[in-house]
Amino acid sequence: MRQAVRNLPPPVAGEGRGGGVGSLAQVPGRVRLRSRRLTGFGLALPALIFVFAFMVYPVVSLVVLSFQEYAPLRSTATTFAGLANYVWLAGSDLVHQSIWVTVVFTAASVAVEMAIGLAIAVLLAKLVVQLRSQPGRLLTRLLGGVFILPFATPAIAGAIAWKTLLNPQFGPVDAIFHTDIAWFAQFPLASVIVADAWKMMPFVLFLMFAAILSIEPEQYEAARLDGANGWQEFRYLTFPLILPVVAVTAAFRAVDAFTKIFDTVFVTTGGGPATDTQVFPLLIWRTTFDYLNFGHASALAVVAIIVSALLGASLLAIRRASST
Amino acid sequence: MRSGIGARILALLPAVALILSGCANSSTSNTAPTPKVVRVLAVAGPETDALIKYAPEFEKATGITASIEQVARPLWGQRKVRELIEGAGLYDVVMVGGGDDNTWVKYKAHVKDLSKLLPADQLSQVNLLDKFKIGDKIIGIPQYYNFPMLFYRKDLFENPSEQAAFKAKYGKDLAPPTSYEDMYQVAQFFNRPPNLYGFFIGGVDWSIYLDDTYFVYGLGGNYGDLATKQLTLNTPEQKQALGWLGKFTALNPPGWQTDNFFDGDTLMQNGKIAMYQNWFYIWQTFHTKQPDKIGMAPLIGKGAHLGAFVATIPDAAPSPAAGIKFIQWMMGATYQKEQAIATGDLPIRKDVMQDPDVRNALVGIDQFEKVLPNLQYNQTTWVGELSAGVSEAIFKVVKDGTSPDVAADWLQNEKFKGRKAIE
Repeated sequence: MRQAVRNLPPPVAGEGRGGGVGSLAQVPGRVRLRSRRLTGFGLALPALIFVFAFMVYPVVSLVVLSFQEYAPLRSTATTFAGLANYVWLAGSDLVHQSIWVTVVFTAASVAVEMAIGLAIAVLLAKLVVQLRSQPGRLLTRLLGGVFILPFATPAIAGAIAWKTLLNPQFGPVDAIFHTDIAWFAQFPLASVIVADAWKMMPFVLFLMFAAILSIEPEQYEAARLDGANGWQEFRYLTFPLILPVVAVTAAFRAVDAFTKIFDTVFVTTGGGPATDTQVFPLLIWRTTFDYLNFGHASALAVVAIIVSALLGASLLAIRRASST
Repeated sequence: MRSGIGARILALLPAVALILSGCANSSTSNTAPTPKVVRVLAVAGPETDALIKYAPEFEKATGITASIEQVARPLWGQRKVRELIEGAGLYDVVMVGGGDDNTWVKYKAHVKDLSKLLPADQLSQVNLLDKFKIGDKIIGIPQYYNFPMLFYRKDLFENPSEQAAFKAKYGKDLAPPTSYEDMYQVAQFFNRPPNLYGFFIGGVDWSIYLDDTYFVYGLGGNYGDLATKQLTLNTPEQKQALGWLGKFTALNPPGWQTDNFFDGDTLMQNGKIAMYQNWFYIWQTFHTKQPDKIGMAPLIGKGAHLGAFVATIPDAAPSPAAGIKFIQWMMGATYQKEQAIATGDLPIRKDVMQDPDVRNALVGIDQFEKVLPNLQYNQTTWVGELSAGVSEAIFKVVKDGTSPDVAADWLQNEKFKGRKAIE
């Protein structure tokens, strides 16, 4: 592309609608600059309007509402509440528990997804390199297709499938192991983590897989010539080279897990038993749509934004540190 | 030249905005035309399916198109409030819940008084109309009635060897229980894990709150007092209800904590539980598929939770006249009969209740008639938040071992300290 631009013939005086270099040269420099700025602004305007309407305005409204009291079932008036909503959430045991549950969920599910996703990606990459025959390629494609299935399954459908699988009365898991375990009741958070990791692991897997395949094969040949075994190849070659991708993927998943875990919990445990799995997005949703307390809900949402921003920033800082 | 284009685009934007706003103002200032469409806000479910199915009859009779929007239940709450409190003015008819929305609609909603808009002869046919009145104002008209009943394993209750064993153990006949003490004995008797469990209560917060209402209303209590507008969360009835919930959940199958009443339907159909309480929507399935296996009886006690969609007309409705025509059709004898036969729900009209076709179609209608006069609704204006708190209190009893008295006091004096039933 850059080459094509470079090969364009030089502009000829008098060509084009604007009158060409000759006529432009007659326009004072300040006017020309102003004209270019206005054109640039005009072209950027649709994008600016979009960003303002769908990103800036909602976030600003959210922050403003978090300092107001608005609960229409109590009063239709929206009144300035100062820090009252934040004082409430700072003193609420339910909020503390919800944040803690969500942090544990995020850490555990991201760790599980990264570990399993990376392990399978390494094995899949080895298969791709080693099985260059036609059946081998077919096998790797088939495996790739199988691994993407959970990610392609709608979250609600996946959650229903897990609830059915782990049902203590009729589920196949207890039947196979001759157990009588109510997984979602006895191990609620662990069960939700497994269900979510199953769904999101392929996302990690394919990012890792692509990163591994981008490593030059010559580097592996050189490592083998130096006598490196499989583990040493991974430890000293593969992992350091894909570490930036690992860090970005983990950061992305952490932000995603913290702010968007909802459907799996909603279907499998409903936030229970009691409030044992009431993750933060579920609490925000309930405060908004069940309790119709928009001031409290906005304060909770602002906290969610801050926590996810901190999570993302800290993990990206780790990435920067690891790449220098 | 180029700068002129950019500047003109920028200059045009406010002008376009002015023209558009002018158009909007001019359209609203016109005289409202004869309604061609009635916009109805409803929630997804078989009752709304029935409205949609028979709406062509309304359209044929009135020439008004019925636009019935079905929203998912989780979104319904916010939509109702937007229409009835915030005055959004998007719908002519807004369906609200009879048992949980009744109080806030009475005290907070901006709705039309239907006593002045509907003919007296039609209103006189409506059962339990007083439930939807505040003073003389009628806030809405129910579409149907549905309420919880007790479902039990008829095959086991009628089994001679079970009857003999029960009599030998408790000195009385095995029969559908009429007191909580009886119900607990029967549940204990049939509790034979892992093949059969004595009782089922769904533990998900919205489901276990409903079970709490069955006990609270059955014992004669409520969550608020309309006269004093105060919460009544630690009354003797509330404490007893928590106590019974603690006892009955101990006889539940494993995993009940994350189940809801729909799971109870599956457990009952598969013979895993001896009894449970649930809305009678499931009765049609039970008596057609397993008539010899599952029986039905009224809930124990003095009251049952009122289930109905109630049609209201917002003050801000764009076409209230169309809304009135829709409600008149909905409460008419023809539609009420069709709906009862199609859904198994009770009609709201006294005359349709006596219709032979309806009585023939609604197996067990004589039992429903016993419960109908006792229907209760939650007497607070903030049921969503309240029900989550009630669920927390229940789990303090069943999970943490807190006594029912302490849990009820915590609910009244700590969790909802300073709150009122009518806020």
